Amino acid sequence: MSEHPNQDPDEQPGTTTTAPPTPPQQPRLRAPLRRSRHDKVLAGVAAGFGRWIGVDPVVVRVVLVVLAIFGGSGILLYGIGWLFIPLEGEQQSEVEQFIDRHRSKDERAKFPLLLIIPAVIIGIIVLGSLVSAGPWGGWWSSGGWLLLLASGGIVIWLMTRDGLVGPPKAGSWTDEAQSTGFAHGGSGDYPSYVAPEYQPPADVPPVQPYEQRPRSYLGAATLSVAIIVVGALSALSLADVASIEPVAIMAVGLGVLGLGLLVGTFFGRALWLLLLAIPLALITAIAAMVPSNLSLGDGIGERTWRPVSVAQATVPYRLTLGSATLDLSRLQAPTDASAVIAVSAYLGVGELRVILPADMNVELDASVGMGELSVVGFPTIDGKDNRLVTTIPAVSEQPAPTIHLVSTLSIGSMEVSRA
Amino acid sequence: MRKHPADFTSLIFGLLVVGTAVCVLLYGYTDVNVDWRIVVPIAFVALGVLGLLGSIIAQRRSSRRAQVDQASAEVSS
Repeated sequence: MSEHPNQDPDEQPGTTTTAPPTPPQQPRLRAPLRRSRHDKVLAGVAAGFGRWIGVDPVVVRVVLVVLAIFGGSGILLYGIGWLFIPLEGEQQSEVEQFIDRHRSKDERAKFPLLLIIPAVIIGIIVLGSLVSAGPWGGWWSSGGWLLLLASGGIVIWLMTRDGLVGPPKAGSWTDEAQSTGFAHGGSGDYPSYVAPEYQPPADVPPVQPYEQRPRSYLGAATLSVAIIVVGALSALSLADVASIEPVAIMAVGLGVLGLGLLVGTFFGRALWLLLLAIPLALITAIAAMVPSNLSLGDGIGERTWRPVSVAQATVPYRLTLGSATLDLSRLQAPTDASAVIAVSAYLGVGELRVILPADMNVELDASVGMGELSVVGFPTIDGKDNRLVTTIPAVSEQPAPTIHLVSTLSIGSMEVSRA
Repeated sequence: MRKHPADFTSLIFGLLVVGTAVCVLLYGYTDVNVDWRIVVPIAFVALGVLGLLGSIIAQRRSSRRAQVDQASAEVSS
């Protein structure tokens, strides 16, 4: 430990001021994440976040709106941003200010822990409500996966907040000292000052000085491997050497990207792969969920089909996306009790309700690719590739005509009830 | 490649991405029945556990850094 007094270096032979004085380099500090005061629509979350990641706020707003429509997670994310991101010019977020008003300083040190626990609990509660609301197929299609990713993002944000996890950020004591040499000898604006050489106290373990990570090629290498793998599998599939479905090829490519990210936990850096991996994960997961019988091009919206004549009833009813009700309760029964009326209804994604007439027998063939199937007189079933074939007799015991109903749903929920 | 302190962002998203890929492959191309009612809550709980671990590590790192800062302040004064 040198006992350098704070005096003029000219009187200190052998000090480290022989090098020409260079002005201390301004360490590259990243502006903290703050909600914008000026460029805001609601609370400045999108503008602040966009500026922080270097993206036009319009892009962030569009993404948030899309996420809001797609399961509502955009609203959730915006609300979280509002609560947890401090306003421009302030140091504390709304939540932190709230907690500060109610907690002592010592307790505030446990703040990240205190936040993560309720975040996880809220996540589980939200999940629980989703579970009770419907099958996982519906959960997926309603953007639950985005909710999971959003929760992951929250946890990570909490952990990396103010550089709590990971290496110390640029601008920390050690970084500045290293980049400028300022702590080991006077230079720049303070030529007359010689700081004492720092030696860590014996009882405190030294922190590893932060070094600017060298440029990592892990991401590029991972992406290259993923492209090679996807290309090779596609070639095998196209050449009929092996039958590999596109979704499987996408999943393998996704797995390679994920492995690259995992390697990046300890070696190199490949975080930008998330820009590819997250959309690809969503697309792959959704594509894997889509049953093979999904038909596109049958329209989108809300439909109510209420045939009254046999001619109307035998028209195939089809809808690709939305909510459909096939109400057969007003269908006029043919006088011929041996008549069989073939009715078919198809819905790609959404909710399909079928109301059966009371005065006719129904031979029902109901199938749901992914989701919930509820048929009067039967327990509700959910899951993948469910099919129920049954006969539901007319209420009266008189001979009655028969409806042969084929009701098909790819993803969603189907309810077959009686008028 | 040089080893660096664990990057939890890479770890968590890496696990999520690999998990998605594995689930898709298991679900679609094997007889293994992936029950999302089990997988998704587990994913949440695992995420929370990782968050807790990360917080604890962060707490230790930051308090250690504060100790060093304090010590350096004492030395320089």
